[in-house]
Amino acid sequence: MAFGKLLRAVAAPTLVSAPLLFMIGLPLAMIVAASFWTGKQGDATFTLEAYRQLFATSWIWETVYNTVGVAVASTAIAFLIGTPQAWLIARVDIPWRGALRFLCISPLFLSPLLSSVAWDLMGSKPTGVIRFLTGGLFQPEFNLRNFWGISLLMGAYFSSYVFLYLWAAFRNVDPAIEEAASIAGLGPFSTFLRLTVPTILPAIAFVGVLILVLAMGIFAIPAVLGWPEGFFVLSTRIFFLLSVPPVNWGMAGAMTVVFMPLILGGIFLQRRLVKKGDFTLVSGKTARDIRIKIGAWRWAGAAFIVLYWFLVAALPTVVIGVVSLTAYSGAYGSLGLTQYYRLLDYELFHRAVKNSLITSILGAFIAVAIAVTLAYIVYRLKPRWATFIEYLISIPLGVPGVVIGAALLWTWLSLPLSYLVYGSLTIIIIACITQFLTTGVRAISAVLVQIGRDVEESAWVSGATRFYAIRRILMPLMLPGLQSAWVLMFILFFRELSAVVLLWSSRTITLPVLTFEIWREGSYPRLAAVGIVETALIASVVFIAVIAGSVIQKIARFAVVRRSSSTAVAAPGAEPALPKR
Amino acid sequence: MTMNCSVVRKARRHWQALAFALATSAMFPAGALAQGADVAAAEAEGKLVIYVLWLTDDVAAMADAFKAKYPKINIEFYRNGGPLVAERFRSEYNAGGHSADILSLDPAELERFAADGMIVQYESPEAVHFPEWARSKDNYWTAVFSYTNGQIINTNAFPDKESWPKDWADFANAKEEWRGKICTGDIRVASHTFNNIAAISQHYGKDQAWAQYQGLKDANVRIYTGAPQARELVASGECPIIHQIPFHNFVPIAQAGAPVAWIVPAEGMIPVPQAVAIGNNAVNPNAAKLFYDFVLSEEGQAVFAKTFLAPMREGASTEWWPDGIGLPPASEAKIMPFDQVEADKDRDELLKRGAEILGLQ
Repeated sequence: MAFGKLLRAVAAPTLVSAPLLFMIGLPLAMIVAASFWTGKQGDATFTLEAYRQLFATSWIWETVYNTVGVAVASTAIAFLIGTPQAWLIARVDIPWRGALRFLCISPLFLSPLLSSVAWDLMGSKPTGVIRFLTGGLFQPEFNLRNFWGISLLMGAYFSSYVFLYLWAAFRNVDPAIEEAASIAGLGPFSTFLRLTVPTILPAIAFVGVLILVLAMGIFAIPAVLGWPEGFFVLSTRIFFLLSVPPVNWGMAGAMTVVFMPLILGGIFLQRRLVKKGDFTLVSGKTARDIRIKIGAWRWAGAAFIVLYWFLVAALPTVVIGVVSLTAYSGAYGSLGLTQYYRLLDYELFHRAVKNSLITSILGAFIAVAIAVTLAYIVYRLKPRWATFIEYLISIPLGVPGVVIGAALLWTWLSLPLSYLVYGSLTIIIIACITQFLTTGVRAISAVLVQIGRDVEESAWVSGATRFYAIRRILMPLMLPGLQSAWVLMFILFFRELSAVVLLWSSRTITLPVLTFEIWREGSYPRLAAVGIVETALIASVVFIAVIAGSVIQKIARFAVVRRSSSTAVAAPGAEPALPKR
Repeated sequence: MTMNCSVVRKARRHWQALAFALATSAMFPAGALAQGADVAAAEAEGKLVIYVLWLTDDVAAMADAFKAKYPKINIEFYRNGGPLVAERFRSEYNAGGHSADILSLDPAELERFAADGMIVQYESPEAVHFPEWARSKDNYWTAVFSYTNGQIINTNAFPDKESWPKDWADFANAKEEWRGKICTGDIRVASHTFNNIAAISQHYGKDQAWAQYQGLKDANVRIYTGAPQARELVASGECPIIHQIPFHNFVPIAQAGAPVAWIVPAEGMIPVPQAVAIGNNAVNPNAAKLFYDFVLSEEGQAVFAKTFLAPMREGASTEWWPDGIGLPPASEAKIMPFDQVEADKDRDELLKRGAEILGLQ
């Protein structure tokens, strides 16, 4: 007994925390330390010089304002678009739900770098890509190179995240509650606002903070649209600091440290929101697919989603597609496949495709496995030290990728046997997991907190062990959530650029690195051709994952139903119906 | 990065530096410097790691050419902007781990590495074919090619040659018709832009350099984020005059038929030299020397010329200055003399003042 207590008090926290401290805590400590130690290597001393320098610059407050402003604005826009989408697809009787669902997440396949290049080109009169596409009819002139342009594009882009999480959350809402409301005379929209929204609050809080933090760290959109006009946010400013010799790690570290309270504050807020209520909506009772009827409005709903898809995914893809056929931008007179033919014997491109697929597919599985374990510990077992774990894994999300990359470089270089990891694809997977582990944990926890403990408890009562209950009851119920989490991890890993920028070599090059290199040095047409291939790759892997996911879900549901009907026969208190292995 | 290397492995590094110093002095006695590389030893190493700020395609082309000649040696490379390449090399070097065998950066950066003992002296037998100013005095590095800066103009926007800029100095009094139509690079980020102002300051004097920047500012100059964007901007006519851009960016758009012309300024194009050196902690020192010789050889120099970079070797291929795109004859491709190492000593002042005048934050 005493040994059991000791195990619980010391061994378990150590077992879970030690690898995380090593993987995440150590690099973070390196960053913080880098901001306090300056001077030539060999005789560095503790100093606040980096902070003094930082706050003496003319741009620091403007950068903070831009970063927070763009993050808040784009999060608001993302919710305005994503929430109705998720509700329509998950709960309402709108037509072609399967296809429309795919349209809602379609922007995820397009790299933000390409989207912003596409929209930048569309508004430019001399380039005239819309004039070409409309057969000379018209060419709009607009400028997205400002605060609202950046926020709008980011918001439209992040709305897919809102959709992805709220869709999963809405699906888990017990239709009986809505049915009751409807019987009580509440209209569908009041039901939505007064009943459904409060019950999916954990998912809203989760995705809200996720987007806020991601928006503070996103690089590509502000780089393309903001940099040329001197509009800097945290990520572009840090990349900038690291592009100017001599590299100023002190200031980059100090800037990261300055933004940490914002991130920790966000996580704190999120925890408060999630703690406030009981969100159990999935109980062992019902699982009927009852949909709210909104009459003719359903067509308007469908049109809204199609329009969204057209503007955010289809049009930019078409523009990039056209650019990939030109010899230089504006040369729409003679289109050809030259750029694509060149890719055929472009060895670096082939390697990049292979590496990207390996790191993102394998990485996503590893990340989901770790995330499920952590989510169960943090949100189910709820030991006291879980709070620490939660905060620890959350911080990297708010640290700009290139800083994480540098921290990993320093950490792994200083370890014995580092050559096994450093310079291989392993360190690229580690970089991705370090950055996005918390995203996975939260994605899974948002679903986990909705599943009542009674589901597991009833399994224990019937004699199942904890692991058996997790494996046969909890996991099947969480499958939609696990699937979403895997897809999200895959996409985030596949597109990860900034953390890899310092870590790659020609052997371990990934597709986003190659795209970024081409953007920096090559031409738009070539960038566009690689971008189109990249988009197609992400889309096909996600498509396969979604199909595979729904097949697995069907099998799992069937298994649960069969199993529960067989255990129901067992009388309470009788010999536990242990599973046949 | 200063903290981890300094705090964590201070002692270890000093021992390593000493060991390396001893080892290298034993390996390269002064008299044996100019013997060139040992092919058999290089092939036994079988591998070579290079860190460069060349373009990805250029380093891949050079690697392919080398591999074609020495199929037993595999090349792995890393490329990025100069500061990040230097940073990675420094971090790895300080950790005592394996790092680059070959390093290619601008001469000023390599001089700093030489001062810290991080690169070694090597007198390549090929180096004698290079002009004096393109070589380190102490055989630490050799400049192998240069980016050559000039102007690109959109000929639809400015059909009349008389309205074109003729020299760098013309920008000090920019014409009214150029107003709002000029783009230049970001002095703080692009090394070709920084070196441009450094060369102008060295050639014309600082006052004239700042007068030119003030002229650009008064003409409402726009800042482009990278040379590729700039060439798209000028090809499409969105920005009809590019004040300063490396030559190799011009050729693809001109060959694709864009309405553009290259201007060789009267005082000459500005060369931004790129040099190679061998890392002190090279794991494959023989392969490194072999590669060093190869890049300096006529064969290696021709690889640069193929992608329109000006080779540094005397009498090297003129393929970099192609026919059929309206360029003046190669004899008129005048290049301004430029001591990059010397000019770099004013770096901080140039960056600060340049950014101030253009209003860059």
